[in-house]
Formats: sequence, C-alpha cells, structure tokens
Amino acid sequence: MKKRILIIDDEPDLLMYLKTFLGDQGFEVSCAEDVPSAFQMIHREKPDLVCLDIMMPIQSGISFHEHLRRDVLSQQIPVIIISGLSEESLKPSIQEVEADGTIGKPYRFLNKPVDLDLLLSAIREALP
Amino acid sequence: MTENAIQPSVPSSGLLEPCQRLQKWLCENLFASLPMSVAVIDRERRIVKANFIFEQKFGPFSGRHCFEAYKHHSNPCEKCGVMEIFQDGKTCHSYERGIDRSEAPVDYLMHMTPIPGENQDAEIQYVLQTAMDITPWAQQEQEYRLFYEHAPCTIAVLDRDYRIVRGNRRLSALFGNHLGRHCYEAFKNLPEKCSVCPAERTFQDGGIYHAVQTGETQEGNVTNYIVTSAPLLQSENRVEQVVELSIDITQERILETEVGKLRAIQESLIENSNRGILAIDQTGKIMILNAALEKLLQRRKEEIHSLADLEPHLPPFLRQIIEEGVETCLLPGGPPIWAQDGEEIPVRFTNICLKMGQETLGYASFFEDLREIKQLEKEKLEAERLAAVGQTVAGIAHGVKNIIMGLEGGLYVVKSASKKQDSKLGEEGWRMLENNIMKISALIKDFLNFSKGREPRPRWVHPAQIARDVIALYEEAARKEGITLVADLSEGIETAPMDPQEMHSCLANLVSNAIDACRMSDPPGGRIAVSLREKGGSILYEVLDNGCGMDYEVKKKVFTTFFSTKGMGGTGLGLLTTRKIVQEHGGKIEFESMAGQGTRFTMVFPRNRLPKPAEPT
Repeated sequence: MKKRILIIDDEPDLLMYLKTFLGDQGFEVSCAEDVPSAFQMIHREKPDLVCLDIMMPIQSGISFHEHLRRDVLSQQIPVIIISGLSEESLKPSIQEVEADGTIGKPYRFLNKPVDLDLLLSAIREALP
Repeated sequence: MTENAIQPSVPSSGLLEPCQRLQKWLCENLFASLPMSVAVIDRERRIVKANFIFEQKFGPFSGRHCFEAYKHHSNPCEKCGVMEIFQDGKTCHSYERGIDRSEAPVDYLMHMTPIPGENQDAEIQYVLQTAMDITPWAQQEQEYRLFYEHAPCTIAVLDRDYRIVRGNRRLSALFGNHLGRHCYEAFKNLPEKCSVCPAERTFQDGGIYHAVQTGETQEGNVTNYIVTSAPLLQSENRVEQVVELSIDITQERILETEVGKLRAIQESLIENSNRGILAIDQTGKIMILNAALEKLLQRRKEEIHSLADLEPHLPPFLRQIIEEGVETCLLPGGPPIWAQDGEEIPVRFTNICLKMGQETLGYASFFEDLREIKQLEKEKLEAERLAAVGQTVAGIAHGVKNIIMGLEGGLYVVKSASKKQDSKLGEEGWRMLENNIMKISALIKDFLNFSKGREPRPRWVHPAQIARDVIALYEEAARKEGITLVADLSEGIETAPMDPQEMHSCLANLVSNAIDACRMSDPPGGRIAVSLREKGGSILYEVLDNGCGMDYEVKKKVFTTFFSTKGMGGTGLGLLTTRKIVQEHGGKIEFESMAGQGTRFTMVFPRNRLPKPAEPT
C-alpha cells in the first residue's frame, strides 16, 4: 500500500512540483494551501507524513505543528518542515517534545529551495 | 527770707569784726543762696525751715512733714533716713525720687546732716537736708542704660591697655566673661593686638573709626561685625577710654556668600547652556545674551543692546512675541532665525515671563538649535530606509527561494510529463516556468524601485481626496467578492504636503491586502472600512477589515520578510514599500491583528514632520 504524504504550502507551484516528484517516487500525495484546509485533510486523508511550510497567510506552520502534536490522533505523524527561513531563526518558536509525547520537535528541517535527494532520504527514513 | 530764717548773734556794741561780718552774711544769705533745696527737719519730721529753692520746687513748707512735701505721702517713708540720723547722729546721703509742687516726678540727691545741739551730749533736735535736683541727668542716665543694655549691638569700653573695662549684656552673651581681658583675646582668641585696629586709631587721635572685623564667639563660631570706635573718656592730652560699638553682620555675610554662590552657579549655567538664552527687561533692554546665542547669531553680545539690534535675525512674529512679552509660548516646530551670514537656522523657541511674586521683571527667550536634530532625523530616516532595504534583501532572498523552487519545479514537471507522455502535465510544467520567470522579473524591478530611495515629491493635497480615489478604485473589485467597502472620512481636514502618487500606493496596498484577507476568511466576504481623521496635530489613515487576520508568527514577519498572498499576484513588497513611503513622509505605520477576526492598519503622519512642498500652500 502506498504511503500517503500531505504537503502544506501556500505556493501552488511548489505543491505541483513536490506532488509530481513524490508521485513519481511512488507516494500518494495530497495538498493543502493553508492551515485551515490542512486540518480538514489531516483527519480525512490520515497521511503517514506531512511536509509543512512555515510562512503562510492566516496561520503559520508553527501553530499547525503545535496543534498536530497536541492531537492524540495525529501526534505520531512525522513532520518535515520545508521553509525559506533558517532553522536557527525558527528554533525559539518551535517547541520541543516531552517524554510523555506532548508537543514535539519536527522530524526533519529542510531549507528551500529543497534538495530533492535530501527530501527523499528524509521521507524514506521516516517511513521505513 | 522767711520769718523763721536762722539769724547770727550780734554783739551788744553793734560793731562786728570781719569774721563776725562774714558769719552774719553767711547766716543771713547762705541758706537762701544755695542753688538747691535746703530744709530743716525736727524730730517730728516737720519742716521747720526751708529756703526759697525748696519752696519753689516742693511748695510751701509751713506745717508740712518732709514725707508730705517731698513725696506727697500721708505717712512716713518705710526706710526714713531722717530718723536714722536722729538716732545715730551720722551724716548720710541718698538718691531719692519725689514729686514736685506741679505733681511732676523729680529725682534728687539728698544730703542729710544732724544739726548739733547746745552741747555734745544733748539730743539732736534738727536735721539739715539739702536736695539737689538731678532730674535731667537721671533721665539721661536711664536712657543711657536702656541703650547700653538693649541696643542691637555689642558695646565694649576699652582702656589704653586694650582691656575691656565695661561691656553690655550682648557682649557677655557672645563672648562670655570679658571684663579685664584684652579685646583681641576676648573677641578673636588672638595672643596680640590686631594689625587693623580702629580702637588704636581712636586712642591716637580721638577720631571715630569704622572697620569690618571677623571674630570668634565663646562657642567657637565665626562672627562678622562692623566696629565703630569712638573716644569715651578724654583727659587734656589723650584719650583714656574708647567705646567700641559692633553690629553683627554674620547672617548678612552668610547670605551674601550664599547669594554669591547661587549667582555664580546661575551665571555658569546660563553661559554654558547649549541653548541660546535672551533676557530683556520691561523696557526692552537686553539683560542676558549667552554664549550659545552669540554662536547661533554669529554676533557678540557687546554689539546687541536692545531688541532692535536683533531685527535682522528674528522673523517678525518672533520679535512680536518677545516685544509683547507673551507670557508662555512654545513653538516646537522650528521657526527659523538667521545668523549673521544669512544661514537659516531652525530652532525650538520658548518665551517665558520673569516674575518675582506679582512683579514682572522681564522676559526670557530660549532658542534650541535644531540643525543637528534635523540632520539626525534625516540620517535616521535614511538608516531606516537602508535597514528596510537590508530587511528586504533578506525578505527577497526568502521569496526568491520560492521562485527558484517554482522554476526547478516547472522544469521537473515538464521533464516528467515528457517521460509519461502526459501533455496536460507538460502544459502545467510550462505554465509554472512562465509564471516564475515573470515573478522573478517583477520582483527584481520592484526591488530596484524600492532600493532607489526616491525622494517624495510633496505638494499640497487634500488627504480625504486620496482616500476617496482609492475607495473608488477598489469598490467594484470588493463588491464582486461580496465585500463591503465603506469610507469614514472626517470633514474639514486641511490640506497637507504629501506625494499624492505615493500616498495613493500606500493606501491602495492596504486596501488590496484587506480584500485578500476578506476573501481568505471563512466564510468569504466581510467588511472593510477606510477612515481618515486628524488628532493631536497628526493625520491618521486607517484600514480595518474583519477578514482572516494573522496569528502571532505571521504578525512578527509582516514587515521583515515578504510572503506571497497566493493567487493575488504582486511580489509581496507591498507592505515594505508602504512602510518606506510612510517613513519618507515622517510618519509611522502600525497594525493590530487577530487570527480569524481581522486586521487594522494605521498610518500616522504628524503635520510637523511632513516633507516641505516646493510650492506654497
């Protein structure tokens, strides 16, 4: 059964790019252009992994990441952050994981423009 | 002579020897001739004989007792000198105060002597009283005593050895036990005579001399006084005693010193102030013109005596404010004054009234040179612009990453479509390439425009008209999205110097963003209000929407990076450009936003910071 990946980014071109690439790699890919849509898709699609942008209108990816980690149904889904912002600049905002599983840091952090090999490698590690 | 006058004995022959004649004359005339009251008192204290002076002073003596005549008492005096003499036969004298025939008080020196009887053993029958009227001298002595003890100065009498032979109470209070001590020891705690000694000069020539001296009280406190030295007791060739009167001026000296210090401090503060200070009196005469004002005007204070001399430097309305003595006036906006070489200097001007109680002493004006501040403001604006450019570069880098991904993505999709023979996918790939090439082109152009640092071209415009133009531009687009766009513009806002094209861009950018926010809200639609008002000397534009709002992380980055509003076109430089334009107009832009509730952007333009237009109003 194909692994399902949810990509959340406000750039339609990026969504198309990653959807095409990951589709070619054998993944089932769904897309959301903003955080409210992403919430709906998380519960509907139940993805195995999420690729998440940070800087989006309405709500940023950071608040989405927090909600994901607080939700019992979704807190185990690995999240790969793909952002134009540096990891250092985001660290103060992203909360770390506790031993009891609350909150949690992202599985991986990748800078835009994303290296596709790195992305693929990170996904394969997260979804053995 | 009265009937009972004492008569001398006359020999039977009728002829008198010289001494007998003398005795007779004395008996006949002395009693009457003495220049003092004379009375003879018997053992009953009755006056049996008295002279003319007595009667003149105390009234008729016949039938009166001495206590009646001298003192108008009805009973004998408690301590009666007369009876003592009758008892012990000894002469005595005393100072008495009585009442004369006209009921006036009289002071007299009473001398009483027993008149011997017929033989040594016989009882004394009569006492002779002589009373010398010393009323004027007694009064003088009383006045002298009053002055001596109660005068507001110390009084010391010195002998030729400079020892204090007499001093008043005030002297004792200040310098303690002084009698017999040398004046320089008692007053100054010195072992020898002072080098400047007015008493010495008085002893030398009998003149009156003054000096200011410093001494030490018995508590060890410093005391300052003015000494007057005058001769008191003089023999034929020299001054035997000198009186020194000293008035304490210690408090005045202390006050003088304090006032002197304050004055020195004030003068220093005025001279060293970096604000120009001008003070004039009620007649317009210059009292103070400090170094800072000299420097501002490039004039020396010696050249300026009145306001008229300042005419070339001050604009007429400032002169008027100073001349009319407007009580309190502050002009922070920087009215210009002119230096000697004609340079225009913006200043912060303040005028105050100088008063002491209710009395107006004059007026003071303060001139704060704003050239440096204005230069700093300009540099700050430029630095902010460069910082914005710097931030924009960082923001651009962020945005370019998306464009790069778009280009890479487009290329990948085209290649993938070619492999899969999927023409629809191929079209999508080409679209991506095209789209992102256009984006990067627009981005570079916008960025170049942004970083050029174009100076605003202000002219006098109606702020409300700019708002109306922007609303008219977006009305239709908003209506199509189901969004209500309303105007709330205060009437009567006066014209202001603004670049109309740039202000239009700012407001348009905010309205456009508000429309995007309303479109993205759930459900879509909503309301946008554009308002304009004037408050506290500032023009305020506000755009309020009830669209999707922004959460904390998005709000943090709103001005520091750009992020695209998907599907709306634009390069995301809109808000950065808006902020740059606002800053170039001397204003600031602020916003409040709540995710899911809406956003309010406010642009504030203080009138005194708006750029100067080329043409007049």
